[in-house]
Amino acid sequence: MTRDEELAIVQEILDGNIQAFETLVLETQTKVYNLALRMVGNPDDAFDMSQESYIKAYNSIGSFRGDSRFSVWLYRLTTNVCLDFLRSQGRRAHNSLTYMSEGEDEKELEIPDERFSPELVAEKKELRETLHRGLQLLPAEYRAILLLREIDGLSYEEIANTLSLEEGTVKSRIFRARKKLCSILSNNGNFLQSPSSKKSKEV
Amino acid sequence: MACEKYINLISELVDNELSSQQECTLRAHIEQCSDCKRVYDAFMGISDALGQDLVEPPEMLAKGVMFKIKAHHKGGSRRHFAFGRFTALAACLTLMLFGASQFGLLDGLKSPSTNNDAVPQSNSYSVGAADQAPAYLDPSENDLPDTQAPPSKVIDGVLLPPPSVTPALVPPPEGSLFTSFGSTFQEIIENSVSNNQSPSQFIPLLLVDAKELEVYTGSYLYDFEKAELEKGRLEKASENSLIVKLTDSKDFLPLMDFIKSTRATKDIKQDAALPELKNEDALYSFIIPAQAEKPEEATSLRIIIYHKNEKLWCKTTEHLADGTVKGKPFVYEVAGPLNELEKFVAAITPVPTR
Repeated sequence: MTRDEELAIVQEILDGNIQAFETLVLETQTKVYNLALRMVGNPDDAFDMSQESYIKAYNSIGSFRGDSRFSVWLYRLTTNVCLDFLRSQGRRAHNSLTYMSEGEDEKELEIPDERFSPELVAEKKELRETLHRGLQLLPAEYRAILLLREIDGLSYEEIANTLSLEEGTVKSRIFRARKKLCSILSNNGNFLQSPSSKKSKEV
Repeated sequence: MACEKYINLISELVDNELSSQQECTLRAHIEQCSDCKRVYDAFMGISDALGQDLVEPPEMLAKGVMFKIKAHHKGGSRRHFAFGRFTALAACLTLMLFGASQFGLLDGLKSPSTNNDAVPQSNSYSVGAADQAPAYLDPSENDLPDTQAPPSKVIDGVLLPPPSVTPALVPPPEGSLFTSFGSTFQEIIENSVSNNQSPSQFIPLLLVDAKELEVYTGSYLYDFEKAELEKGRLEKASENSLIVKLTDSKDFLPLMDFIKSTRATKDIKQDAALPELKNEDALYSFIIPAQAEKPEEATSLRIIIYHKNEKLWCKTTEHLADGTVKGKPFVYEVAGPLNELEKFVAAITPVPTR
């Protein structure tokens, strides 16, 4: 759906055609749901977060100014709904943030072995499952940025605008998120058993 | 490490965020450097896996969103409202509580503790609660001129009701759970009557979210309770005997009738003492199963109707996947004649279990 098509539908909704909203829901629900699913980590909460996002979007559609695509605006809303939820749950976010900040940034990237070619990742279900579990170990804010890029296809600029960050911050967080996922994959799920990041590898 | 400046760019390469000149330089380097090639491959692999392993959203997502939006839109202009999978539980709970709320039980409700915290589901409703306005309790909001009543819709065999019938399925943030649920659900029934709608045009929200309701004779026993029973720690109780699964809106009609019948009775004593309810006193159990795709923390809701001291009593409990009780059970008296309950059961029994 093009930006103009989105805008036309938004206008219809503002004119009172509620049903038009369904078109937007159907168009965006896969990305919204998957974003929520990877953010909160389980289908049940993901369903709730997706619904909440859509209903918030509907309620505040009058404040959508059209300076970004509607879908981008919606993904931002979804991201914030998920982040609020995670904060309110106090889930993982705090712990993993602590973990990540303790020397993780300074740690050099371990060079992954050949196991992680795109072809192999595509073939190996367990690798992907490790990856999805690994996502939950990232700080929620990092996860959000990575998912906005990978699932929703937002550019760095769009992510930066969406989350009110500097583009450089987006860039470095995506890199660090990937670095972390690489390390999780390299440890093949054993990551949790060696949580002391202070003992970062001397290179 | 010599490659460090390149490695920092690999992520941007994966994201197509490099200028064409940067890209050329980096690609040339990656061709020659096995370390950077591996990093690039791994980043690409991660990217592919995240971007392509997309799960189909549940079918009910779009339907549920539209259902709720339409329902609430009918109450006036667009507004904030709450939602969530617990709406279904709320609706079902309301089914059972319906009579209680409007006809006196409300005031006479007794629970182990009289504050709202005693309500097992109260926490569940907190999602979005801040958005809720007490205005939902205003019956005038549900007024809907007949001429404007939109037609019902059938989607995938599920009969969606006109928007007018649901504004009330939202619990308010404060006050009595039963006031709001009961009266609001009653409004649904009232509206449907005033709009001359056939009861078959209702859709129980249960069908939207939880998808089914199981009715058992006697007390439904979870496995852990059976074990307790074997050890002699529980009173004798009937085995789990499933009468029927309600999965279709028409199946709910007898239940609706029963609930409506409870309106006839209102003599609930304010301070009626709660009797000790034993498993053997249980007449019927209603189970709203946790959704199949739910994780461990998913809860099912159990509603047991007891007959004790010539009265009907209802106990609701929320159960985790292993059957253990989450939160406190909630017990209250049901203002309904027993024969109406029997009629309800008689009406649903012939429906084969599916």
